[in-house]
Amino acid sequence: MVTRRMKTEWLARGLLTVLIAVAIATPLAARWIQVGSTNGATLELHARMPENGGWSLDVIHAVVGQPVHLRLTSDDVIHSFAVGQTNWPALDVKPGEVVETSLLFDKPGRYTFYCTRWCGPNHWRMRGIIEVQSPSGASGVASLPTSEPPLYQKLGLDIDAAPQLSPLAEQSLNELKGLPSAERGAALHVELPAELRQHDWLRTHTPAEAFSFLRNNSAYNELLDTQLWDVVAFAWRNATADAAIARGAQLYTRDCVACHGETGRGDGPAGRDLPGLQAMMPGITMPDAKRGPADLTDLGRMAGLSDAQLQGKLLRGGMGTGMPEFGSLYTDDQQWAVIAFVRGFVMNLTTK
Amino acid sequence: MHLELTKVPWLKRLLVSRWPLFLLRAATLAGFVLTVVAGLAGSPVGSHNFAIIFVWVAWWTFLKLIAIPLGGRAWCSVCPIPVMGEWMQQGALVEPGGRGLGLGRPWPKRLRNIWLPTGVFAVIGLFSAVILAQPRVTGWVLLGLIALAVVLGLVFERRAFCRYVCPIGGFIGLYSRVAPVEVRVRDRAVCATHQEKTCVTGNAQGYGCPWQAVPLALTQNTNCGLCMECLRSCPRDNIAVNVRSFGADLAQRAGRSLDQAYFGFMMLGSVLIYSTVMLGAWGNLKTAAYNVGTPAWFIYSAVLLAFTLGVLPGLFLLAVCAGRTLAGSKVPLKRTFIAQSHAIIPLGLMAWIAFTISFAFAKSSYVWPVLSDPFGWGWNLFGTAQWPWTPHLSSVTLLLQVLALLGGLVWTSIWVRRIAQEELPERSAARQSLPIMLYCLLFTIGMLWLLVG
Repeated sequence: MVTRRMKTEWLARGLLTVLIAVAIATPLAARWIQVGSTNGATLELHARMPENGGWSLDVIHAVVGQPVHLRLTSDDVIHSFAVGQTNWPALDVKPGEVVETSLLFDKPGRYTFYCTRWCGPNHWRMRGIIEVQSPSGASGVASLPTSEPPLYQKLGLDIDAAPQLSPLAEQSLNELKGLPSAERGAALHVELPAELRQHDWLRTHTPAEAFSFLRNNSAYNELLDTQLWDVVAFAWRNATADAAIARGAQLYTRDCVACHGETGRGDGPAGRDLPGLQAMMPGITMPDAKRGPADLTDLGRMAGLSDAQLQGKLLRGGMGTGMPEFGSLYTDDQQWAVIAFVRGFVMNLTTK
Repeated sequence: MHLELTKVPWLKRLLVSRWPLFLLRAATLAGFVLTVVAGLAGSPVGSHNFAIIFVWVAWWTFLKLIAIPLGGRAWCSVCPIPVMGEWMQQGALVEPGGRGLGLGRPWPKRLRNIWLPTGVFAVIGLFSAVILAQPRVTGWVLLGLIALAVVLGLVFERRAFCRYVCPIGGFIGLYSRVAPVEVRVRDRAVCATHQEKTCVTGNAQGYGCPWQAVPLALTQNTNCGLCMECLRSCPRDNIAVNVRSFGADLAQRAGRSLDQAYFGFMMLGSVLIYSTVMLGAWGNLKTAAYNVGTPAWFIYSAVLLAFTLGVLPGLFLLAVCAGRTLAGSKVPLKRTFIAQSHAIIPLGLMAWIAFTISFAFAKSSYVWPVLSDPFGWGWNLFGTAQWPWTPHLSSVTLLLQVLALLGGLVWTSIWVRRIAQEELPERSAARQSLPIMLYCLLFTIGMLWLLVG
């Protein structure tokens, strides 16, 4: 016979079981539905500092023309999600918060996704791959989605070669009292030679070579060496759009400033313990063979490097120096924008 | 002040009825399970995980600011940690009469004190920076506690875990002495004539005291879990639930002991060290507390233990000695030390309240997003997931902290004097009290400096 006490007890047990089951099953079932309902079309990507494991997915597979939905969250500090070789704005990924985005690729290739927030000492290691296939299923995804090799590779430059300065250029630099100024150069109202008005020429020659080129041109005989340097600065400024410098400033602030410093001196907090060029060339005796990031305000050095060489350093990275590679991240425009901005550390590119 | 709540018929019916308590316990147990699931499976980001926010911000704050000061061990009566062990012991969830499990062994005599909770509290304190920040660790600690409670419930009789092991139970028990609620017998003479003592042995209406207390002998709240079993099992209707003045238990000489005294110092030391580590501006100290297992953490641990269990009681002993010398007291040193260490209970409680105020209001707004998204999985159940962090009541936080600390100092000073007067004439009692009051003043200044600056 079932007593009243037993009825009460079974009622209580039933109630307790339901409550506990709800507490366990509801969140897990909801989670299962949340993840499973999208039939795999939505990927969950957790951002973690490289020391904590980095991105939760190393590789994301996608097909041209088919959107990939991502749910992103951070498991530790604030990160950001960006896709290399695109101009898509970076998406902040905050700890414990979920943001969603969709990616739609129009070209097959191997893209890199990466963090743009300085999340820790190994921030630059926080990268993953997006393999984008063509709709036909053809793989062909072993390469970057860019169409042609970068300029420095086409030229076959030795990007680790020491900066080249002619004695004449070196002497004239020593006599400079300040930075070459594009504004002063413009105020001279001299006509730039055709070479110094061409992007290709400027990118493949160093500022020191441009100076020597002008010095050896009789049309500029009346100009002092300091004035010629102002003309060189004007030439670089003349070849660069305002928007490129602004974009370069954004990218430099986002990706470079932590090591190279706000002023370009190589004194950023994240660069202090980096090995610098000594890691790459032990025994090297060049003036910049020091620990830490390169000093981008060193006029003597920067004047001896062409934009193409700088591009090589930027795209390849530092081979153990601590400089990450940006080849898989930056589009052509982004590369040249950063280089144009960096030139501003040794040439005053401001004009009215 | 003395007001008997059990004289109100509907209130008494509510307290005697088993269903309200069962429902509360079932709800807290379900909440506990949800908390463990959130801790183990939810976002590892503490500020977006139900386990961290509800345990260490909401519940811990509720306990210190409201539950203990007003209800004493009220939380213990609905605490989910021991209930599974107790239900298994009793073989029933609601009414007595089930066939229980367990060996029902008596708790070892040597451990019938709160040295063990003191140790467990110290150990948890050493890991607190990690436990408080990492949901996974909180989840495992909660699971560990409930597993321990179940195992102890199956091996030992009644709620041995609550009384002799649980560190939070030790904390609540110590400060429940100042709470304005008590369960006491109405008339001791009635108990004297009741030979069965069903409040201890149990009957069909109620279990024998799960806390292994003898209601007849209850003079203070520490060992009463407010479970109301004695109210149910007393056939003479001789149990009362009273509202009384704050701190009434401090006058009770029975039940003062060295283990309780030391637990009090552990609490004083812990609140000082937590204030230093969590609210201070010393980054290296935070790093040391957080990096468990490193040499810096071992140094931090050694300092924490030495300070709480050595320096603080040592200085208090010096103050007591100085007081005895000033007063020319012949009362044994140990007795005076133990008695006076109970006078600092209000000081400790108010210091914990001041410490809690420093972060509770500032962090209270974390509760709303976590309610909508308890696991940090991007849900928005109640539309509050995006509510921004807002530091509430920041304009009065400092004032409340100062009031709490100064109030604690005054409150404790009154009891230092009263306890001294138990065995000394008034003039000598004043002399005995002075160095102890100075000790309390220095502690208060230290807390003021840490919390208010």
